[in-house]
Order: sequence, then C-alpha cells, then structure tokens
Amino acid sequence: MDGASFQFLGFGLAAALVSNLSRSRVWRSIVLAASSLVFLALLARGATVLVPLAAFLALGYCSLILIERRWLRSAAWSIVAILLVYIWLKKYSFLPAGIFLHFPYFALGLSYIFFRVLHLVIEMGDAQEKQHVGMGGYLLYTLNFTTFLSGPIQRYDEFARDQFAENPIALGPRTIGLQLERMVRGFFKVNVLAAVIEMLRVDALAQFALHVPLSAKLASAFELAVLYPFFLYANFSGYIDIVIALARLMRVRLPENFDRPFAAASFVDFWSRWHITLSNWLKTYVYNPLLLALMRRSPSAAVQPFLGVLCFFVTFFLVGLWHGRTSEFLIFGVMQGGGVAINKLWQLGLAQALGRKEYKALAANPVYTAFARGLTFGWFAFTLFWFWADWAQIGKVFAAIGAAPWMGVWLAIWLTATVVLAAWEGLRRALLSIRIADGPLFTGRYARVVYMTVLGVVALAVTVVLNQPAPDIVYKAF
Amino acid sequence: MTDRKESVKTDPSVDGGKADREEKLPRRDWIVLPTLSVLTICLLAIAMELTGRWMFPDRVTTLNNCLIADDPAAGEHGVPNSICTDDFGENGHVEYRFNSRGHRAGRELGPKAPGAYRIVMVGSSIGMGLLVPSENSFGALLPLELERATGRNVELYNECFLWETPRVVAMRIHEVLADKPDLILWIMTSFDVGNANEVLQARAAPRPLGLGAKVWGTAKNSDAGKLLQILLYRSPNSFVKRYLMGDGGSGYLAAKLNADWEGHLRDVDRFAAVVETEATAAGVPVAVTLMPLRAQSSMISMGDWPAGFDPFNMDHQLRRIFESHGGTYLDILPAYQSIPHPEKGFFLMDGHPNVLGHATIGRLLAQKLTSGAVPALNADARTKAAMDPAE
Repeated sequence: MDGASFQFLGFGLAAALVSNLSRSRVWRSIVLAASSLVFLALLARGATVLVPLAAFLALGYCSLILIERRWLRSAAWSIVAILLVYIWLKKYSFLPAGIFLHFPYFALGLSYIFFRVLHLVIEMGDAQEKQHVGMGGYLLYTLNFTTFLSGPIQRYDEFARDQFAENPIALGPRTIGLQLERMVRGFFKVNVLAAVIEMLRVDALAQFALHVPLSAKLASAFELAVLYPFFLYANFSGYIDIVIALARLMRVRLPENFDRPFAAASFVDFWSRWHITLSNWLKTYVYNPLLLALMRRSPSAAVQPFLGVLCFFVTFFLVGLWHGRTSEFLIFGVMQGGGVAINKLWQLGLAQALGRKEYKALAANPVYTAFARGLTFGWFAFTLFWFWADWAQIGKVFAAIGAAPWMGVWLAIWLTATVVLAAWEGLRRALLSIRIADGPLFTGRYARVVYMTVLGVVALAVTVVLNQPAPDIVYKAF
Repeated sequence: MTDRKESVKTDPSVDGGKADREEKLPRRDWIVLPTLSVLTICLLAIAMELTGRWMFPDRVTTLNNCLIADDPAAGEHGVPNSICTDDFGENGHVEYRFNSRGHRAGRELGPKAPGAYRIVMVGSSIGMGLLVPSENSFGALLPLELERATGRNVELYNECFLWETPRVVAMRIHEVLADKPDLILWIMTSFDVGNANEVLQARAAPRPLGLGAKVWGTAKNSDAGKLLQILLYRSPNSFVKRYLMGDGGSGYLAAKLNADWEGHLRDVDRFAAVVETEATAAGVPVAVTLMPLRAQSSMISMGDWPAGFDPFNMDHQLRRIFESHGGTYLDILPAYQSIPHPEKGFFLMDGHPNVLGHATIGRLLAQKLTSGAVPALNADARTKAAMDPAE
C-alpha cells in the first residue's frame, strides 16, 4: 500500500467512488478522513507506533491555537520547537544517538507533515486576522492519504478551498478520463520505466565489482550516472501522477510537482521544475524572508544581487539537506546550494560582462541553451551519487576507474545530454506542431487513448511477468 | 521572488485550466474511444505475439523418437544407432547421434588405447549436452583440454543421459565399471539432487489448475509472454530476484535447506554410498562436481544475494556427502566469482548451458582435474597458469 501498487490504486479509486456518492462537503470530508485513517492504519500496523506522530501533530495544533488566541505573540518559538522535535524524531545523525527514542515508531510521511504543519504555523503567525483552523480540517490536511507519503506539499488555503467548497469542483466524464489516463501513466512510470531503469542501473553497478576491461567499466560508469536521474524522475513523478489523479477524483486539486525538469537550461530553472512544491515552500519560507532580512541590513544596491546568491545557496542547501539525515546528504545539500549559487553568479557575471540585452540574446540561443541543458543534467546526475550511495559505495565507484577516466565520463555525459536532450526538445516541438482542429494531433484525445492503452497493457504485462511487489517510492523515505 | 501565496499550478492539459466547468465529450466519443482502446489492445497483442514467434520460434524436436523412456530397470536411455534433431529458437539446429549403446558419446567404446587415460562421464542432460552440438559440449571439449594440460592421451566416454539421476547412476554402476574407466566423472546439478530417487521422468497426471494458474500459464508460454520474459530477465539481477521469489524451484539455494531438500540429500548419500563402494572395490576413483544453474552462477558472480539464501550451500552439502564416502569432489562454483556475466552461458528460456557455458564448464573442470584432485591428471606449472578459468 505504500507504493504505486494495484492495491493502492484500488484503495484510492474506491475512496474516490465513495466520496462522489454525495457532493456534500461533510460527506466528502468524512470519506477523506476515514480513508486517511485506514491508510495510516494499514501502513502503521499498530497504534503504539503512532504515538510520536500523534504528539507531533498535537504540538503543531497547540501552536496554532496559541497563536490564534494571541497567547503567543509570534510564531518563532513554535517554529523552533516544531523544527527541533522534527529533527529529533527523524534522528538526524548530528544529534547524539542517546537522546533518540529507542523503540520502533512510525515516521513515514513525517517530512511532508512537517512542512504542512510549519506552513500553517507560519501563516497563522503572519496573518493579521487569525483564521481558525479546526481540528478536523487540520487533521484532514496533514493526514490526507493522497499526499501523505511523498507530497506534493500543498498549501492549506488551496486544500480548504477545494475540500470544504460548498459546490465542489466539476468532475465529469472528460475529467475522469483524464485522471484515469494520468493514473495509467503514473503506474507505467513507476512499475515499468523506473523498474527497468533500476535493473539496468543495478547491473551497471555490479559491473564495477567484476573482472572486466576498463572500456566495460567506463560504459558502466556512464550508465550508472545517466540512469539514476531518469529512474528517480520516473519513480517519483509516476507516484505523484497517481496521487494527483486520485485527489482530483476526490475533487481536490493538488499542485504539480514536476514540469519537464530535463528541459531546464540552468540549475536555477531545474529546481523550478523538479519537486516544485518543495522548492516553492523553501523559497517562500526561507529565501524570501532571508533575503528581505539581509537587504534590510545591507541596503547597498551593488551587494544585493550577491545577497540573492547567498540566499539561493542557503535555500537549496536546505533542499538538499532535507532529503536525508547523514553526512552524504550534507554534501548533497552543499552541491544543490552550490550549483544554484554558482549558476546565479554565472548569470549575474555574464549579464554584467555582456550587458542585459546581449545576455538575454545569448540565453535564447539554441546552441547555448543546449549546452546549458546538458550541463544542468550532468551536474544533477553527479550530485545524485550523494543521494543514493553511502561513502563506501561512492569510494568504490569512483576508485573503480580513477579520476581521469571519470572526468572523461562526465564530459561524455555533458556532450551526450546536450545532443540527446536538444534532439528530444526538437522532436517534441515538431510533434506538437502537427495540429488538427482541436489542437496538437499527438495530445488529442484519440492519440492519448491509444498510447495510454499501450502503456496500460504493457504495464499490466510487465507487472504480471515480473511478479514482484511494486517498487518502493524513493521519496517516501524522506 | 514569488508572492507569498503561490497559486496552485495545475496541469492545463489535465484540467483544461478551469475546474468549475467541464467540456462535454462528443456523443460519438462514447463509442469511438473504447473501440480505439480495444483495437489498440488487439493490435498490441498481435504485434507482440508475432514478434515473439519471429524472434523465438517454438522448439521442434524429434528427440522423443530416440528415447527409451519406459525402462525402470535402466532408466531413460537412447535408442541405439539413432539420430534425432532439435530446432530450438535460441540455438538453431542440433543433432543427437546415439551410438550402438544408445549414448551420445560421439564414438563407439572400443578397447582402451595403450597409455590412454579413460574417463567415463555419467550424469543427466547437462552432461549429455542437451541443446548444443556434440562437438561444442564440455564432454567433447574436456578431453582436449586435459590432453593439452597433461600431454597424455585422454579418452572421455560420455554416458550422460536425460534423467540420469543419482538413483539411475547407482543402478548402472556395474555397466559403467565394465567400461574399464580410469576415472568416473559424475556431473550433478541441483535438479538431479531434487530428483535423486527418480528413475524415469515423472509421469503423474498433471494437477488440475485453477483459472488464474491456467491464464498465467497460457500467457507465460505464449510467444509474447516468452518475449517479455526474455527482455525483462536479461538482467541477471532481475532474473535472480524473480527466480528466488518463484514457485519453490529455488529451494536448493536456501541457506538452510528445508525438509524436502534434506530428504533429497539423504537419497544422494544413499546412492553415493553404492557408487563409491562399487567403484572402490574396482579400484576406480570417482570425481563428482556440481554444475551451477543460471541463477546460482549469477549470484556467485555478483557476490550478492538476499538474506536467507546461499548459492554455495548445496555445494558444501554434496562435498560433505561424497568425501565422506571417499570420493573426490571437484568444486568449480567458487571459480564463478571471477567470471563476469556467467548468465550469458545459459539459454534464456530453457536454462541449460549454451555453447559458451559448455566451454566455461570444460575449462573449469580441466583446471580442477589437473590441479591435484586426480593425481594421474596433474598438469605442469606452465600449463596450469595458462588455464585461467576467468579467460
């Protein structure tokens, strides 16, 4: 149930069906609540393991009440408390192990609940007119089974707008068809695409331990680096497709989390297309306030762009660090922050050197864009080693072929990504330019029925043949 | 940067950008869209089936015509002086020529040449070289390797046959010893261990299958199903995972064997005792070796397997059994640790070793036999170094 399995699809569709037996917001909320509790119960398999989670939710709600009733002047202490409790429950490795709880407890989804709770507390603290959030609404929002495991991280006001609407958003045959299509696409991405890519990646990793010629190891190094970004995209975005579709069938619109990330021509742009809700959340609650605070202290116009660079570094360092509790993720965070900061500095420097107009013209140049896209992909692929591997594995992989060959591999990745991604963008534009009366031919409903049927049949066949549990969703571990 | 309140970004292609109203589907789409879907499914199934048939044509074999499969006294054996063929998608055309004794030995057994070292090989289908040409089987390659290593004239008479289980080997030991071997080389697989007490291929009436099993069986055995399995199981990691989760055929890979497998090993022990006693009385040494199956070889090569499994366990058990009876155990499994992608030495669908696999087995056996396991076949140092099993 904690992956993109038939069971989860069936569960979600059943919940959607029951939810639509009535348009009443009370009914829909009861169904969502019941589904979410059943989902939690199936995952947790016991009540006692949920005690720390319940306590965390209680801390969040108490903070909201205290702020709403102005018993707390500001949300600052609540934010600190929630942050500390979160770090403690997640067992971040920089904390001494002795202070952790030494019994098994349920922590799945905690990272996403943390964002939702913190968002509510911050918004409540900032608002002049405190809007009451009822316990029911709070729990529905934080425990919503569609966003429980891996997001997307939705704002409360957007959730409430749809969930508690007197007249729920329209759900007709066309929308149902589109959601079913999206579910099929998501299922295919996780259970076929991600599964097959992972098979190839594991084989490539195993190759490093074998007695094979250097050329074979170089090929494996290339494969290993290139495959993981696609695996992660298929695995994560596939699950997101499923939950967005399920939520829409329950008349709640979730925010998009991906927007063709490998089309990004800069690392800054990449993070506005990959795990969008996470980067938006951190931009809203870290970047913006931090930049404002720094600008107040340093009003010099010359310094301000560099303050922006610093804020980018801090924000995306936290994006990286959020992913894990160990030193590998610390480095991952440094690389994300560093990548964005250097990219921003490059943009600033180039704009200053060339002039804004010339810089814009360069940025629009297809060759420049292609190379930038390839570099963005290559950098992301490189940083992902600190995402999936531990230090021992990283050491083995990089030692297997030596530094100079690895430089060659990265150069090859950059150049290959430049050509392949540019070709893909060109092909996509060309296909979308073939139009019929209703719009592009290949996004028309007839074409979509055909290839969704193909995806569905292939996904079913592959799932049956492989006969394995649904692959784990990587992002549920965070 | 962005405003404090980020408005929800929805996929315009999904929601049409407006959630408060919905465009109606044209009436004809209620028929056209499902029809399109059904047509797509039909076309896809046909395309996959045709592709599967083209890439992996069904096996056409006349081998049954060359078998005597109802002789419980002697087990399955070949029709003397018969020729049969096998046309197998992955391999092409293979011919089976059985000599006057019904063995696929490549020759008749005559008197031993002066100074020749005669090995009689016993075992089941792998030793017989099922699905590979006789000249490419390790039964044909091994004597050449041994001659190169030892400088001696080595004859290998191959008496391996389908379903020559440990019980059948024990039944036939007098016949084997009558061939005046200098060494009996016994080729075993985990399949042989699992059927140690069988004489003939099990001919019990098939159990009635439930609907699910029938559908799965039909799908799995269709050409489209085979194509999909081949594509998905090319990856050794994927194949091993699937194999270990399978229907119990992987029980021999367990780190702790269950009661059934312990029973099979007791059967092996019983038959090993018979063979070793007779062979010892005749002054003929017996060397036994376990051939790995595809998943087992992949696990050893990758050096990685899930908890609860151990690809070396069966190896250790058989060594214990045969050495306790005074036999020689040729342990070739560890050599697979330095062989990259040993799964390429097996037929994808069938699981028997292919030409590459037989060549590997021949090299490994030669290396073991000439490294002191059989004193009469000791190779000199230069030849030993040249026989690196990883090459």
